Amino acid sequence: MSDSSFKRLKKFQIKNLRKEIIKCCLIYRDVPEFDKINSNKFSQNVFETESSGALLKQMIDAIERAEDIICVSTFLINERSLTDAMLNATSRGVRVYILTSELNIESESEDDDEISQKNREEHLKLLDEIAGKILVRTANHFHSKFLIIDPNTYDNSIGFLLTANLKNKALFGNGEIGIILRGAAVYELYEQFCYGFWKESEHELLEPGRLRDVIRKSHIQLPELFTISYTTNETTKLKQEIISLITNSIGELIISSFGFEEDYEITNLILNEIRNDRRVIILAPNRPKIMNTLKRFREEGAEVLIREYHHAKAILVKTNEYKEGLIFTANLTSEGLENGFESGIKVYKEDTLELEKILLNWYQNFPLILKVNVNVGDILGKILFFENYNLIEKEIKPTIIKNLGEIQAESIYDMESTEPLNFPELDSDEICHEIRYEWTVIPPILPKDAKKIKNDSELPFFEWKRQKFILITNKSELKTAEELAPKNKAKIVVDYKKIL
Amino acid sequence: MKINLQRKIDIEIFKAIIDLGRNTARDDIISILMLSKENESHITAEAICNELLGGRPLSMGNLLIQRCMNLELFDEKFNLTELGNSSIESQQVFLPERGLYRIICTQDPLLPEKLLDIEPLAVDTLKSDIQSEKNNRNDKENQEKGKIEFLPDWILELEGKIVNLIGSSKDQIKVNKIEKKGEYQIEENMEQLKAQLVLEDNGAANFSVSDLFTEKLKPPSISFDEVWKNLLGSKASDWDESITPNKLRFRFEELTEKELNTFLKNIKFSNPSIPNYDNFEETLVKDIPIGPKSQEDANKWAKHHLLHAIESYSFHKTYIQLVKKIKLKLPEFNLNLPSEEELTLDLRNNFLKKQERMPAYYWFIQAPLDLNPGGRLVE
Repeated sequence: MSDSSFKRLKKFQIKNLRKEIIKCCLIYRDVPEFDKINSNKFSQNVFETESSGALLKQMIDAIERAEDIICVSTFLINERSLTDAMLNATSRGVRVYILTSELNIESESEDDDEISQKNREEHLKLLDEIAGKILVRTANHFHSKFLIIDPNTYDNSIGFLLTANLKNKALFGNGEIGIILRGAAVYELYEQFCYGFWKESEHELLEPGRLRDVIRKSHIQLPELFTISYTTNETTKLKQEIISLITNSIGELIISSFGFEEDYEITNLILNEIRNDRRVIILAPNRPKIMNTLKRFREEGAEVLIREYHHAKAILVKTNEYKEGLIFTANLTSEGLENGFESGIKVYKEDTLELEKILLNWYQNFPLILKVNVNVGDILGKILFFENYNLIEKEIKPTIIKNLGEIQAESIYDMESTEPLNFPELDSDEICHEIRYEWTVIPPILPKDAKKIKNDSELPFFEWKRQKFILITNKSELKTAEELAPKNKAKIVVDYKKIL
Repeated sequence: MKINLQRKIDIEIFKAIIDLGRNTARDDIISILMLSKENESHITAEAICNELLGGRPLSMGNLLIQRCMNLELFDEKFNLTELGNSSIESQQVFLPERGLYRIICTQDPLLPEKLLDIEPLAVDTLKSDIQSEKNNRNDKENQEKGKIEFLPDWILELEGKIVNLIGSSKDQIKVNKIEKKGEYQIEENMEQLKAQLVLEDNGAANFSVSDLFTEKLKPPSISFDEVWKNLLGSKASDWDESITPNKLRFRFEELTEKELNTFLKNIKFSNPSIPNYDNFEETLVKDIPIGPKSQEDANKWAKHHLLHAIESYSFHKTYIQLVKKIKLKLPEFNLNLPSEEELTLDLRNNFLKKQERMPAYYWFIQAPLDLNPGGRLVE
């Protein structure tokens, strides 16, 4: 019998969770704060948006130089400096036309989760303000994003194909790509604009607050375009261009998109490329809606880098010998590539280098990386869990201590072996490499209501519920108690206060 | 187009003793007149007795001839008089009566008769009035009621005239004699008499009175054109009769949107007056055909119509058709309508200067000009 039989005994047990598997999560990378990084500040035609609003300034400068017409396509518009510039242009005699979405509450769009109620209200309010001065036509599938100036002139024509909507957050933040267009590309976008205006518009706003039905010019055909790829109700040339770019190339594949769709042709094509040992990098936002698809990409071996609000749509294929790219407005979904009104342009030479620079910069600096089937023991710190179609932030800690309190031993001989009946699991928001369960074993003590009974021995006897107890108050009494206990069918208990 | 002229008729009421003939259907006398007509307008007692009385004594025939002569239907030579002839036509003869009458008269030139109605009164009414007049010359009550005086000449001039009354009896009477003295009546709370003359540009004319009496009357002999030009006054020089329908010409700026659209205008004449027929109440002449005053006005007017005709997006071919259609609306002018480019430029200058929203018709022309790659798109 050891001394511990008479004392509180502290005990612990470690449960190792390092080999537990996390099926899908986003892990923070050790990279600089993303908003302070910019890869390209308008040195070339291809650029990314950034906080100074340099892209917006370029567009406003172009609008201020417009002499004939301005054509705008955007899913959403609420950037007042742009519309103010357009209204100024109208006072010079320039005509401005806008194709945009009605943003109906009922409509379901790929971009729904980026359209806040505030954005929607600002969009509709702004359209009412410009109605009549600018001719606005709408359709819920108008998703392409471009601005073209004087397409019918030789000297003054210029265009901007953007992945960003003309909304302030998009134009001032990172994560969008734009390309400046000139010459034939501008004219081809103008062709697509005219086609959308006459044949795919649903309503028009000629006066505030009243969207009237449009009588479509059904006979109008969009001619074959050579520079611009597009999606309309009648064609899926943009999708064909994407498929062609992916399948007719080798080397690394960098794909950036706001939207992906499970079990869609493009998704399956990308998965095939990954399975064929092609290095594929996916750049995407942290949207629960697309996480299953991203998970599949990663499971097959793609590197998936994530950033909040990432919205750019582009593909780059590269080997050491050549590079080829495509910048476009559509998400990689059936809504964008089968049924939308979208535009895209292939980039070559210097423009491809610029695109590569942007995409690689994002690859290196996106703050989150998607991991699948990863051991808990390989991660420490905050991560985003993908569970039940939600992304939930949790922190992986080295150890979580679970204090299980005091446990009374059955007898003074069981002090060492006494353990809690249950070792509780972690709470749902807890995750760690190991759990340390801690508890304290206390020796058996006299029940509170036990009554002293007469006996002939030198030690006091008690009884409670037909059980006899021999109370000892110091270690020297133990030997006598051990002799008396079997004879009297009594349990040895300790005076707890005295032990303490 | 019609002119509707109305006014209240001033009426005057007298009590007068009158000998008159009241046109009455008398088949027996008409038979004698017709017999004479068959006899070269001559009558004899024999003829009457033989033809009408079944051979009764001649004295009977002579008595009837005398009766007709008293009625001035035959002259002293037993020939049919003018009155006799008109009695055959109307199948009525003026049967004499004499008495005291309440007569309703007017001097309004619109009405063909000065005497509008007569109403027989008991003979002693005037006598008692005369007595009262003698007894109570200063009696105010009687003064208000009326006083015995010489009737005005225009009343006395009715003697010898045949008058169609428009009052309740609608009788035709022949005024034989009016006693010079009578009584002027002031009757309060008497219903008004209103006259309405409606003249139409197709020559139709309607004249009627209402309220106190209701009767359709022969219109005064005045033409629509005469009245219309009178109403127009100095604007009459803009009434263009060289074109059918005639048009009143205006400057573009003088007209409202509705007038420009309909080519019709309503004009209110606040104090219409016609020579010899005095003044009428304010009247509104509706749906007056109007046209441009000058070539410049015509061009502005045509442009106005063109803008209103642009109701949907129109490419060049449609625009040309619209222009042709507008030109047909003003065939008397050689219209100069703008091209699409000129039209939209003009609209831009007008609206954008005022920082106003562009109207739909601007976009209906401008968008097909702007959004037509290579001019490939057509209707």
